[in-house]
Amino acid sequence: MKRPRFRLNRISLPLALAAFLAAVPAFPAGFQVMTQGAKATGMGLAFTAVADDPSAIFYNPAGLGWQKHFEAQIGAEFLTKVKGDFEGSNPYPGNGVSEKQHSTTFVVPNVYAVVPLTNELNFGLGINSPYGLGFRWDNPETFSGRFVSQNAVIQTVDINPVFSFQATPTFSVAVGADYRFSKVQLERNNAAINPLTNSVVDVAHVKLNSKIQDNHGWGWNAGVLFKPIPQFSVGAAYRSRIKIDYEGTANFEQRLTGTPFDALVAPQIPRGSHPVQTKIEFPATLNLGTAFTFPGDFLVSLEADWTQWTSFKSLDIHFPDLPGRDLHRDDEWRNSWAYRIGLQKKFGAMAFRAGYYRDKTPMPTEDIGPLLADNDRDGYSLGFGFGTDRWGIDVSDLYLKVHDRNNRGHSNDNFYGTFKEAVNVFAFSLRVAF
Amino acid sequence: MKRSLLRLAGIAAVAGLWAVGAAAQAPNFSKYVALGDSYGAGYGSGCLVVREQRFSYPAQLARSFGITDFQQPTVSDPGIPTCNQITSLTPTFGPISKNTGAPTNAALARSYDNLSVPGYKIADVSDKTTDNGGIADLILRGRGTQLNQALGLNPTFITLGIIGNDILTAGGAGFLQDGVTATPLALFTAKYNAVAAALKASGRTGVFLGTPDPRFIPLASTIPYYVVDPKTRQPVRDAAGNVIPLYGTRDTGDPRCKVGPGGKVCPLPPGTEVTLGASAPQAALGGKSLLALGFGIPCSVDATLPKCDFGLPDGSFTPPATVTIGVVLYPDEVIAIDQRVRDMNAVIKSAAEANGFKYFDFYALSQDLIVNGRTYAGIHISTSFVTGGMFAYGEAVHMSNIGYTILSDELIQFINASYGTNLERPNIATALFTPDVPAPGTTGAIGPAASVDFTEEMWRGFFRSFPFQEESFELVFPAEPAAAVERAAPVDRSRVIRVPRKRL
Repeated sequence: MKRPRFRLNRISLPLALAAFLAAVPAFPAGFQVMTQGAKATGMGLAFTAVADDPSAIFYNPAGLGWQKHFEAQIGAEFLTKVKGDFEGSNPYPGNGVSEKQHSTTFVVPNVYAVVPLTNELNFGLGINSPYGLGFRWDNPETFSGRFVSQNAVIQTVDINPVFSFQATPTFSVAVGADYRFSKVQLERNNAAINPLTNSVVDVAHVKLNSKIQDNHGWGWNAGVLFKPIPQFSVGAAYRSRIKIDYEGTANFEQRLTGTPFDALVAPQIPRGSHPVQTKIEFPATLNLGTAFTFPGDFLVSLEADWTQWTSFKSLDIHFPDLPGRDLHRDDEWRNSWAYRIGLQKKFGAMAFRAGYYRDKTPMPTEDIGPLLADNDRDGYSLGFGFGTDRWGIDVSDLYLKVHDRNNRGHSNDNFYGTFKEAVNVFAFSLRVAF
Repeated sequence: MKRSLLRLAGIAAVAGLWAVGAAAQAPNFSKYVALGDSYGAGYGSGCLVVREQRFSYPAQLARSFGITDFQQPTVSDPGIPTCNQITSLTPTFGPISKNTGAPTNAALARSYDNLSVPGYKIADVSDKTTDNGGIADLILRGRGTQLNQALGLNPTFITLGIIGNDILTAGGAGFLQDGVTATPLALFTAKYNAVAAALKASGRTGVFLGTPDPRFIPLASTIPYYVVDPKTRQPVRDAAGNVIPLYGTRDTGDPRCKVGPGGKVCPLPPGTEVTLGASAPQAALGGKSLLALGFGIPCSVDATLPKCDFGLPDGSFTPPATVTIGVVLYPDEVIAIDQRVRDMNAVIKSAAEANGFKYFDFYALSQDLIVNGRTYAGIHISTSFVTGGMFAYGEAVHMSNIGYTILSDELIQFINASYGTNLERPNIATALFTPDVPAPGTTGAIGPAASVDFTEEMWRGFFRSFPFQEESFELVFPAEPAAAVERAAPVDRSRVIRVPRKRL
């Protein structure tokens, strides 16, 4: 009797990915999401030199070298934009204009499994969403930036198999692959001058969309972890760039003004569905960390994370069957650093955690606008864990305060004002070892 | 240690001097007065009307300066003269009403802060006290010249914006001739220097605006030198894919010149500007435009046009006082006008710098706007007539509320950069989203007009805004072929159109 084989066919693959896409992150540094485990989240994401649970597959897979049992971990992060305000200024959209981003809670699940193959060699598999974006504005039909963006979404699902090899009792190395599925969605209105009034009117709505199962790319990752003594460790983890070429559809709908102008505009709007192409080059990352365990089971973890955001040079949207409608947007992003500190104090089976980090934005002031407005942020976290070698539960909460950012005099979109954001992330993880 | 202290003291002294210097140069915006022409007056749709005057660059600068008592010679709807509007999307244009508006601030007991008078040349600023019931009298009110009234207000900050009446008439009439379509450069220089010197005063600063590139205005830049399909608005091409030039009446020596039914015609060379007058229906042409009748269009393109293979007329002056309006600016004329604008701007810049004022390079701005327009959060504004948003529906010369706000924004950024100030930029969103339509209750509203593209009245309106050097000149607009080809013949008085007096 033949054993049924699991195949990621055209039906099961979208369903499998959708389980992760039901939750899409919304508020990254740039659009990176580092909250991929409750324990790490509780320690301010300073986990590269700790990496002592299955989420090490994401933070530093070399940490699997010290995990000698089959282990599985599931978890989720609940990300809520607690503040997403914009206060406009002259010349556009003008003083006194207030806008709000759509506030909702996104759920980002993650799954990790560790399988020891030999005493030194481990296999790990992680599924998570390390990049994402949800920048959606309330009242999209009146939002003052609606001709740039009403809603921008990037979703990713990574399948991340890794192998770790503990070369010596104090040193482990790991290498793995990243297979990333992704989709993008962009919505905005088009403007025109209504000659009858010599003023601006909305004449069309454009929605670009792609399917998650149709767009994917490969990358690789590696990590090292060195523990010369039990009380000290130093680690590094690297993930390569991943380029994804997207293909999707663009839908154009005419917005009627109720004037004779509609008839003049109609022939110029390519109503219906048209193919569209774009690409995103997700950045490489390098995480460097060290951790000290002081007497009394008090752990201090320090980390510096570098992200090569210069890979994100432009947003290019190509309409193969609509000559002259291609869009090009320069995005001169800079490489960025984040600096983290995490603390953990254990009392038997219980662990209390805290963390802080300062994450520098990759976005120059000129680039912030309705599509995305990022800035330096401070993250404050608290966490709690309870468990044994066989099982464990971790919960944590991270409050992310994005510094207010004013782009007075510096806006490529000519969209001026102050952006104010704050995000709360609640995370939990369940771990079982066999 | 001692050396460090000395170094610190030196830095402090330099910083102090810098601070004193900056304070000495900081302008005093407490009393602002604007001298200028139609652009300063906020003259948009061929009229003065308060819904457009509030977007004049002086009014917007005053708001940015924090002045709450900036007085303008406001006029109610439907404007003085009656404003134009677009009445259908063919497009057709026409007046918005059978009536005219009325001054709403005529009782002001002092001079207006915005003294800009449509049609003013630099000599008018210092010399003219009345135009016998015209629009200048609405603004000056018998209180003296623009310059004297401005000085009487004792301003701390001024703008002087005489940006085109001394030269742009040449663009509209189709030829450059000193004393006819342009102020002689020597006279312009003398007058400008005199006005600038008179404005100079201790503690007074300000900005002199230069003249824009004539190609900035839709009147001269909308119609290309080649044949365009009126339905698709796309160029008509020959079998080799080349555009087909329109015909003009000047003998250019081009081997494709030919003798048509009206005389010799030659293809217009690249770089030629054709004014919107070519598409203005004229009563003398049976209500049709030159292009609609076929002037300039080779019969090989459309033999059914009654005047195909006739040339588009060139402008000229016949002494002692007859101006024949043309619709073609040949490349040499474009270059000559452009050079004159550059020469005038050199005079303005020199006068500004010699008298303690700043020179605003409107010429460079206009070229930037021609190429790039402006985009605000995905809303693109261009210089294209009707669809671009930057120009009003007057004579295809004056800016719209959006255009004047863009100009104001550029001026404020220039002042901030020049004086180290931090003035608030204007709110462009107000101009972008406020329909420029007659106020509720405007009487005598007129429905769709029969004229197409550009009206004869709008064409004539250009010469009110940009008058010839002498008001006594008689204007002959292109009319029937008989007049066009028999240029040397005595002027047919029945086709002479006197420049209409400005209405009040």
